[in-house]
Amino acid sequence: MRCISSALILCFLMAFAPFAGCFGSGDEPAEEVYVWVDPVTEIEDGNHSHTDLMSHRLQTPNVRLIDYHNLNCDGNVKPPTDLDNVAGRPCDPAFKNVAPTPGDSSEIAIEGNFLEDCEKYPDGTGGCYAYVSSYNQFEILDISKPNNITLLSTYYAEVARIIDIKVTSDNNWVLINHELTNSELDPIPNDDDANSGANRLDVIYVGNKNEPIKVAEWNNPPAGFHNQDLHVYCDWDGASHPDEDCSLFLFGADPYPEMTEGDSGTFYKGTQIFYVPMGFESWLPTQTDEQQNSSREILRWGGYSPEPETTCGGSIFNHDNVFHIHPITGQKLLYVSYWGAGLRIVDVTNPPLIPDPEGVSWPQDDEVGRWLGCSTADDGWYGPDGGGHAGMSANEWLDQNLGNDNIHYAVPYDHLICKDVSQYVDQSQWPTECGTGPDDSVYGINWRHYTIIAPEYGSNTNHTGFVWTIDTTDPAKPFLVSKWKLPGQSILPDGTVHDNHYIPGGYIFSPHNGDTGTNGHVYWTHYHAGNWLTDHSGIWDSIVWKDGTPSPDLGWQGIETLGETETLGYYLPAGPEWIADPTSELGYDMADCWASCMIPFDWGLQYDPRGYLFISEMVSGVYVVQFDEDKDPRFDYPPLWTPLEE
Amino acid sequence: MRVALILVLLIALTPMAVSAHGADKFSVIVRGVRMDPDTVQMVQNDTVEFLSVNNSNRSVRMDFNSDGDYNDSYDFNCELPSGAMCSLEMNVTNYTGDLYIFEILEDDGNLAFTLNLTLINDTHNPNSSVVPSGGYSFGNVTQDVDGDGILDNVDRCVNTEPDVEVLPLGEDFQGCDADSNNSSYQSILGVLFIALIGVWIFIRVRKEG
Repeated sequence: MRCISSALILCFLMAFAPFAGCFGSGDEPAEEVYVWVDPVTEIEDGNHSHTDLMSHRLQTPNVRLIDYHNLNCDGNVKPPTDLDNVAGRPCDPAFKNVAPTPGDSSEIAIEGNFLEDCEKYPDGTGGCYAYVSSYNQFEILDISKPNNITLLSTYYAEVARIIDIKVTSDNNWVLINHELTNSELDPIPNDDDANSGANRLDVIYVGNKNEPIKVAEWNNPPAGFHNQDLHVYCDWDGASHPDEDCSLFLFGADPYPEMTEGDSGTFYKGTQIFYVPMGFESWLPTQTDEQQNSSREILRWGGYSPEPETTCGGSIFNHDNVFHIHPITGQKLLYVSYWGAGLRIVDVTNPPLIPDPEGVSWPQDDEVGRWLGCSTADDGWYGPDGGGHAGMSANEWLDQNLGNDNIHYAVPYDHLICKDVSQYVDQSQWPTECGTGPDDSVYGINWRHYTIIAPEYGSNTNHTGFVWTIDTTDPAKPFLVSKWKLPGQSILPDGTVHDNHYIPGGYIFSPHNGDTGTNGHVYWTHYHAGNWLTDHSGIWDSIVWKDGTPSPDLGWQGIETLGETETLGYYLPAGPEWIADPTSELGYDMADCWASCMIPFDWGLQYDPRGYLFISEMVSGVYVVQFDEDKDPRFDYPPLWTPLEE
Repeated sequence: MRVALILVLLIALTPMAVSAHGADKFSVIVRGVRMDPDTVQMVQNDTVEFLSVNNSNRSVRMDFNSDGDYNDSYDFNCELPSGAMCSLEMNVTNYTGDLYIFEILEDDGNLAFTLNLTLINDTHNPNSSVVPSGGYSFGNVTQDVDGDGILDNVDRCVNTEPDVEVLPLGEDFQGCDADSNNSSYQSILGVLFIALIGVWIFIRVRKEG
C-alpha cells in the first residue's frame, strides 16, 4: 500500500512539475540557492572529457569574469621573418579576441601604481601592466582598466622555454628565463626543434611598451634557471661605479639538484646570486658606450644550498626564489622553495663587498628560518621538542601520498593581518582585538605574518597536496598554523569513494603558483582544477591552543588543533562567456600538450590590489575575474561585455 | 663538403638533450642516532646519496645477490667518514626493480642503520592503478593508441594524434622512448644524406679524373 501511495504521489508531482514555475508570486524572483559543484573529476570516461571546454565552465557564484584576452597580437602567432629577433612588435587592438589564439602561456607578472588607480602621468610614469611569459614569447598588456585590457606588444624569441617572468617596480625592465630542462618530459608546443630551449637569463627593456628590446643575456649552462627574482639595493657600499646610486642583484633558481657538481667542474649551489655592475640604466638604448656596461656582464656574487643536516633527506633542489622585505624585521629575505628540503628563509640584506661566487659564506651562513614537516635538528626550534616542524618522521614528510614533500612555490604576505583586516584598512575599521596595531602591548600578538607554501606533483594516487600556512611573524621561528587541500571526495579507479582528490597523471590537479591578496585572502592555481580563493584571516582565532592561550613561542608544539583555512570560491577559465563556441571561433589549440592536453590548465595568477585577479591559462590566454569579497567601491570596473542570450 | 660535415655532426649531436628538472638524486642523511629517511623508493637511473653529518667513521654496504659477501659485481662498498658522501647510481643496466637493503656499519663493524630501498623499473607498470588522463589506458598490451608501433604498455610517450606529444604519465617516468616513426624517418634521412654525399664525391672524383 505504501508503494502504491508513493507511486501516486510521484505521478502527481511529475504531472505538475512543468507548471511549477507558474505558482510563484509573480514579480519577486525566486531566490536561487547555490548547490556546491565540485569541479574536479579524476576519471575520464564517456561522461567526462578533460578537453571539453564547456563542461569546465564552472565557478562559484561569488566570482565573475570581467575581461579576457586571447593574446592575439596582429593575427600572426609569429613575427615576420625579417623582424630582428631581439625586438618585439607592436600589437593591433583590433585583433583582441579573434582567431588565432597563440597559446602556451605560463607565468604572469603585474606591476603599476594600482592604489592610484593606475593613473598615467605626463612624464610617462604611472599605469599598470601585465607581462605574460609564453614559451617562445612574452606579451605586454595594459591593465590600467581591468574591464578593458589591451595587448600592447609581443616579444618573440627564437629559442624557448620562457616560463618565468619578472618586472622591476618602475615597469621598465623585464627579466625572463630560458630553461633547458624537461626537454624529454615536456613536449615542445610548436614542434620546432629550433625552439627546444636555451640556458639563459635575458633582460628586455620595456620602457616603450610597444617596442620591447633585448639589452643583455647571460648563459648558465647546462640548464639555465627555472625561476628568478631581483632587487635593487640603494644602500650598498660595494657599487662598482661612483655614479651607481643603486645596485641591481638577481636571484636565480638553478633547477639542477643540489649536492652535485655541474659540467663546469665548479660546484655552484642551487640558489645563485648575481650582481649587475652599473645596473639596468647602463643598458638604456640611448646610452653612449662610455655610459654603458658594454660587456653586459653580471658577476656571480653568492650562493646558497641547505646544509644536509638541516634536511630529512629526499630530493633537494631549488625550484623558486621570492624576494620580500619582512614587514616587522625589515630584513631583505629570500623565500626559497626547496622541494624535499621545504621552505628556506635566507637573509640577503647585506651583500658582501667582496664576491663569494661559490657561496662559501654568503648567504650560506644567513639562513634565518626553515619549515619542513619533520624535525631537522637535535634540539632547539627544529629539534624534536621544538615548534618548527609538524612532528612528522622523515618518512612521513617525504611521503607524497600524504600531500607532503615537493615544496614548489612560496609566497609571503606583503603585510601583516589581524582577523580580516590589514594595515591597508583604515584603523577606524579595525576590530577591538587588533588594538592599535602590531605594537599594541595587549593585542599586538594578533597581528600575524604568514607565508603560503605548496607542493607540485606530476602524479599522486592519494592526494593533490596541501597548501600550508606557515606563521613567519618571526622569520627565525616559523611554524605551521593551518593546511588546506582541494575540498571534496573522489572516485578511485576501482569505483570506491576516496577522501581526497588525487592526480592520475599529467600534473592535472596539482597546486602550482599563487599570490596573496589583502586582508587574508590567498589565490592559488591548481592547473586543471582551476583557481581557488581561500581565506586565511580566521586562522589565528580558530587555532585551539593546548593551554588555551596563544603561544607563538611554542610554535606547533603549543597547538592542539590547527587553524581553519576557509574555502571562498573557485573559477575555471573556459573561454569568454560572450562567445558561444570559443574553441572554434578563437582557434584554441585543444591538442596543446604543453598544457597536458587539457583545458583549462592554469599556470599562474596575480592579484591586483584594486580587487581583481589576473589568471594565465595555458591554452586560451589571460582572464580578469573578480570575487565579490574583493570588491572595492573605489575601483569599480564592471564587465563591458554582454552575456549571450539564453 | 665542410658544410656537409658540419650538418652530419649536428645531426649526430641532436639527441643529446638535457633532462634535469625533478629529482634524479635522493639524499639519505646519516646522523648520529638515526638516518633520514630509512625507507626510499626510487626509479632506475636515480642516484642514492648517503651524507654523513656526524663525527663517526662508518661504511655503507649492499649485497646485490644476497650471497653473504660484498665483493661481487654490483655489490656496493663505501667508506663513509665524517662529513663524507657515498653515492650509487642505480642504473638500468645493472639494477632491476627490487628491494635493496643497504647497511650502515659503525667503525667497529656493528650495524648502525638499515636502509630499505625499493627500486622501481623504469618502464611503466602495466598493473599500476594510476589512471592516465587523455582517454587512453596503459595496461592493455594490445593497445597502440598513437599507432607508432610501440604498444602502450611500454610506450612512455603515447601520442593521441600524429605529431602530438603527451605528457608521459606515472611517477616512475624518466624519459620518453624514441618515437618509432620519427626514428624511422631519421634513419631514412640519414641514409639518404650519406648516399647523396657519396654520389656527390663520386661525381667530383670522376670529373677530376
